[in-house]
Amino acid sequence: MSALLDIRDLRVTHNGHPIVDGVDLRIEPGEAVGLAGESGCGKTTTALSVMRLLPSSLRQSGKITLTPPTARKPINIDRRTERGMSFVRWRHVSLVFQGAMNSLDPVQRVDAQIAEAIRLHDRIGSKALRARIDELLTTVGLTPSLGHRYAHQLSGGQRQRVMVALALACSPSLVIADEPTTALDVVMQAQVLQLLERLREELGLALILISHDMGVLAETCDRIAIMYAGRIVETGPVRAVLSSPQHPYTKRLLDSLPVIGGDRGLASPIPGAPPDPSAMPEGCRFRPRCPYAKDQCRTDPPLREVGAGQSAACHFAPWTEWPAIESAEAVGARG
Amino acid sequence: MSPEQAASAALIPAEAAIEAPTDEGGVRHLLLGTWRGRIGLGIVAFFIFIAIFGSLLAPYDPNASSLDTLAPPSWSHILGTTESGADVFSQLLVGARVSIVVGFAAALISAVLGSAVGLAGGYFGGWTDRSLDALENWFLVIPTLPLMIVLARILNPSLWVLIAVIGLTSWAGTGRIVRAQVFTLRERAFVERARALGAGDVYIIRKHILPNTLPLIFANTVLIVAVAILSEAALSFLGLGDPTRISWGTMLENAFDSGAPSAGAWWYVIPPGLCITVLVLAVSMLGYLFEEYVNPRLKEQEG
Amino acid sequence: MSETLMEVSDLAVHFKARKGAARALDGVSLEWRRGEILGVVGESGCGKSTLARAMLALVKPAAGEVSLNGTPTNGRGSVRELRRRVQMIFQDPYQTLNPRQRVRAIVTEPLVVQGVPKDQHDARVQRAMEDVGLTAERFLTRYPHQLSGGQRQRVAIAAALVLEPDGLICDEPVSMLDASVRSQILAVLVELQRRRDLALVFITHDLSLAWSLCDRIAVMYLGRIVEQGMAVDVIERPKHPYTQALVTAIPVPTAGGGGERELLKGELPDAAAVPSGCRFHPRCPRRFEPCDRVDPELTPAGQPDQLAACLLYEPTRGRNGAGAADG
Repeated sequence: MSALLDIRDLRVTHNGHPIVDGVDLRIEPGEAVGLAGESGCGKTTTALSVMRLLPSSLRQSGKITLTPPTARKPINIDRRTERGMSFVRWRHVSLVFQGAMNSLDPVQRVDAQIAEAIRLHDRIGSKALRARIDELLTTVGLTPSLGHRYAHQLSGGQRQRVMVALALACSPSLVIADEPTTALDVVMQAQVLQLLERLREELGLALILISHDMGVLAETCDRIAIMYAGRIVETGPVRAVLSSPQHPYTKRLLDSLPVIGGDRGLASPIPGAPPDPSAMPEGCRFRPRCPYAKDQCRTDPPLREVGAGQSAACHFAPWTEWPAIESAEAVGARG
Repeated sequence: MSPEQAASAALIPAEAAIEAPTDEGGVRHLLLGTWRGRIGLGIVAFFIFIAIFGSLLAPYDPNASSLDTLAPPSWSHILGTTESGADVFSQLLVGARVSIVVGFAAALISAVLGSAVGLAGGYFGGWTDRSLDALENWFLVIPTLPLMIVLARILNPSLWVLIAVIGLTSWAGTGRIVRAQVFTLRERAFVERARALGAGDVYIIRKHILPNTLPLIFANTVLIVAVAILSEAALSFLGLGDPTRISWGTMLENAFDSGAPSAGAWWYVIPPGLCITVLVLAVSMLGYLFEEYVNPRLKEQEG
Repeated sequence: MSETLMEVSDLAVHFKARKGAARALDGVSLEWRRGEILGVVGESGCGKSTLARAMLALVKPAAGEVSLNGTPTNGRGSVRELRRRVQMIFQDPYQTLNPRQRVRAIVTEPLVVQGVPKDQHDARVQRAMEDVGLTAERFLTRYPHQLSGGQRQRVAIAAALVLEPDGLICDEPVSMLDASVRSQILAVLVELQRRRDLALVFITHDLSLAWSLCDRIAVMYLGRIVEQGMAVDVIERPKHPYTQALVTAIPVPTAGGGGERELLKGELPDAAAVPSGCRFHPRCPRRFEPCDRVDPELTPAGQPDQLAACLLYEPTRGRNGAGAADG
């Protein structure tokens, strides 16, 4: 069975500087993959590349192949024209993007917006359209009568559900959700995640979930990929990666997360900040901030398999135990 | 903003906006780096120069009459003569002063008045704002030219009256804009932080609100300069200007009164009109340039 | 350590809303002790930010009072004293600094406003900048837009420290920052608290963070404190059904989550339309007969020092509410 989405060597540059620097990713049908990382690591750019929605100032290269179950043959996203892409977007892959809650048109009723999305991509009679809208709203857990409202008459959580409904409008096989719960309270967040989980089960939806919140990814995803400075530094089954990380960045990131019931002390923070694309360090990009860096790290570590389905881009992986770190002062610059 | 953030910002409204660069470098680049800036600045600088040195450069006394009435351009009178035999070119040079002085002075009054009202109303809100806003609306709604004409008629025409009249009728627009900006600034975290420090209202207005409103006031005022220059020309043309001074508007008034257009004396009619047009265009060009610069930054700052 | 720095008694703050008054704070009583880190958690709209502002006398209370070191903060003089002793850190590092002021001016400003003698300025600014980890001279001449989010927040903290306050109220100070920067700023705050024996109020919607950082926690819902106590007790052994729901909803990074959890339905009601009786009752999975009529007070529940405003723990009921209270 071929993968639903196959990304090979994706590169995105801005003025020659790398934003995404050689990303490979495979998504199987119905699978949920999480893309984790801090802002600037390239995860949103990767998502936008799949939809070919990057602004013209960014150059994209690499092979992206989408093979939806309903299509007759594989779709080469990287080779499609803009017009060709308009047949792919929303029908086969759709996007719930960051800050989506505020992206609804304030002067259109909600059901009108869903109707517009459907009509742009499908021919459909008005009765069937009405039925479809109601079905979509129900699927995301909203009563269909809410469709008559305007965006500002809905709460944040409800608006987010509308955005999910919009993404599902044309029954795509892949949905990319970029930080879908960031602006939401913990309860609303849990509700939306439960919704996404249910949709996956009911509709066989594949999901790329982008978030900086590891907890959110742990809840919803099967596999996870950690990005840093435009590259994937670790990937694997979510439970394996989170319980036994194989890259120092992942490890330090996980350490900084408080987990209720565990140790209450704050771990020493990762000093410094991610590198600017115009000034990438040679070799391993995490080297300036890595407490375990050695001379060897001046050569680029490739992403290689280090365990059951788990891969990491670190010369010293696999890590069976993590040595103690000297105080944060000893490593890199602060501030 | 990282390019990656720019990519998503292209699709979604920026939630955490990065502040734009400060004015210093930006304004200099605008003025000297863009062709609009250079042309606008060049023309305005040229006319200011004329305004200062015009009377020294004039070949003749602009008021001196001679027997050579309505003579077309010649070697002795580059732009010909008026109906009383005075040199058109000299009048043109001297007339620049009135336009520039009235334009800038009136705009200054308008800016100060508008800013004061906008700041007070926008910051204090409540009753103060409601009454000031009503006042502003009154001035906005009244058609400016008729109001100017009425005021100029009632008061004895002189340069100062002219400046006052134009200033009084144009401040409301600035006031409106300033008020809106102050409303937004008032709620910003750094203003709240200043309050939490114990800063008083006057201090906050002086140190936090005003500096962040100045770019806007400046951009708006430049446009008012253009309006003021045109208004002066219009009022003078209608005979409401200062009769003791020569301005481009009075030149046009005299030209039309003495039948120059029908006599075919183009050298009398076209130069003042052309000067007005070119100066106003140049000032407007600069004004819009500044406004464009200030506005997208405003949007970015809103976050 | 158990000396009281600030006391809030029965505080109510109302805002004018479209349909009557929005009761942002509806009877809040709280004690903030010297040297302790007090967490205030709740969903957005619960009133925690309003509480912070009321504590700093930035909004006028409709009822109740706030006292600093025993003196109520309602007069001009007492407010001035308050401003010197308690400072605030705001949520958005991109909005919290005047874009037209250089860092030096920003950090010196509190000294200017409070009339501290000029000869002390340089030393104090220096110390504050060092305490937040911005030691290099060059930071003082920068404008905010030349700094990263983490650096801006450090500047904001330095500006708060320069008056040498007794307490710092932090309103979501790290929620807009990235994970690695977040832990840096938290480390700064914790170190400061230790070094200067500061009292901190830490307002957040992130319960895990509050759990790891705070000594005591107060949980707010719709303008009231519904549970309070030692942080470990409130989060690990929550007594109020709302707190229990919040804790259950937290996604857990390790051990892979998923699995069915009972989630709270519905959303926070409008502050202008507070439900009758217990304000949580419409969403409460454990509600029973009088919950829609009786407004519960904070009563002891669970561990010593732990209080919950829930009829399940009313002394008259003992432990036989409709659902047995879990230990």
